[in-house]
Amino acid sequence: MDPTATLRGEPGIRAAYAAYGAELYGFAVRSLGDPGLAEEAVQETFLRAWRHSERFDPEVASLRTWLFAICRHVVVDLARRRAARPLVADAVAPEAASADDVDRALTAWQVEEALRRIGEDHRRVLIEVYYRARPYAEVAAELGVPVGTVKSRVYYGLRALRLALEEMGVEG
Amino acid sequence: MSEGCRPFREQLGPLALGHLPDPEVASVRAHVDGCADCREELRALEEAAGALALVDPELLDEPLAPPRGLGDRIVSLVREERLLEQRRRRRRLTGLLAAAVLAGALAAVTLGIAHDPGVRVLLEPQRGGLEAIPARLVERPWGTEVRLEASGLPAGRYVVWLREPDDDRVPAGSFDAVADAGEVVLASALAIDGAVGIGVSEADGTTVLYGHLRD
Repeated sequence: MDPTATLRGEPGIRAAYAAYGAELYGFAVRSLGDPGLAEEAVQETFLRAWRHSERFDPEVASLRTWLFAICRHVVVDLARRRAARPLVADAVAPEAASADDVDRALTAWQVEEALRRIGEDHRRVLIEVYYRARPYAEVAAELGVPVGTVKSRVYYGLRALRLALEEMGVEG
Repeated sequence: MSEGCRPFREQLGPLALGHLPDPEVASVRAHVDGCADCREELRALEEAAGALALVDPELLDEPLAPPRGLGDRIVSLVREERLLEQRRRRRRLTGLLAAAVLAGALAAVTLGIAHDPGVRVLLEPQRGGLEAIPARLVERPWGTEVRLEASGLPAGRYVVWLREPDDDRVPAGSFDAVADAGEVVLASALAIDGAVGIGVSEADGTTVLYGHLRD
C-alpha cells in the first residue's frame, strides 16, 4: 500500500510509521540525547503530518523527506523548550541545540543510516580502513581475501554509500 | 567506463579516502586528469568519503530502536485528535458550546495546564453503544489530575478510577454525564507512575470504558 495516498487515515499513519518511525526516532535521539523527549518528537511529527496531510505533495518531496523536515522542526522546538525550562537546584543545564546543531545531527544521522543500508562486506572494510585506520594488507589477511579485493570493496562501498545518500535525498 | 579505465577504477576508492600510496597516486591521477568519466566518478566518491567524517563510528554498533508500542500510541493519538475534531465540528454546527470552550481554554491557560499536556490516553468502549473518549492525566503533587471529554457519553452517573498493577482500583471521583458536558476534571490520590490503566464504570460497577497506560 502506498502510505502517501492515505496519510489522513489510520492505515496510512501505521504504514508511514512502519516505514520511517525507527529512522525518525534515531535522528531524534541523536539530536536531543534523551529517549523520552525523542519519543515525544516522533509522536508530534506524525500528529503534525496527519493534521497537515493535505500539504504533502509527492511531486515536491518524498514522504520520507517531508517527515524528516517536520521532525527537524519538532526537534528544534523541543530543544528550545528544554533550554528555556527553569532548572531545579543543582541541575545541570542541558545543551541548547540550535537549528544548525540539529541540521548537523540530521546529516550525520542520515550518513549513519546510509552506512547501515550498504552491504555488510562493504561496511566492514570501510569501518576497518577508514575509522580504525588499519592497513589494507592487515584487513585483507583477517578477511582471507587479496588486498585488491579490499580496495575493490572500498570502491564499491563508497559508491553504495553515495547511492544510499542520494536515495535518502541527502544533498552532496 | 572504457577498457582503459578498468585498471584504475578500483583504485579510486582508496584514492578518495587518501589511502593510496604515493607511487600509485601519480599514475591514477594521470589517468583521471585525462578521463572525464573517472573524474566524475572520483568526485562522487570523494563526496561519500567526506560524509564518513560526520559519523561517530562508535554509534554504528548501537542501532536505535523506538520503544515498543510507540506506533500504537501514535495511532491512538491520531484517533483521539480525529474524535476531538469531529466533536469540534459538531459543536460549531450547533453553536451551543462556543462560550464554554472559550472559558475552558482560558481556565486552562490561567492554571498553567496548557503548558503541561500530561499523558494522553484514549478510553476504549467495553460494551456496545459507546464511543471512545479521550482523557488526559496530569501529574500533581497530590496525585493525578484526570480530565475526560465526557460529551459523547449517554446520560447517567459514572465512576472513574485508576488501576494499580495488582488490579486494585484507586478512585478518581464521579460525575453525571449530561448533554454537552464538555471536559470533566477529577482527581485521584494515585501518582501517574503507579497507574497501569484508567477506567470508567457505571453506578453498578460495570466497567464501560478503559484506557491502557502501561503493562
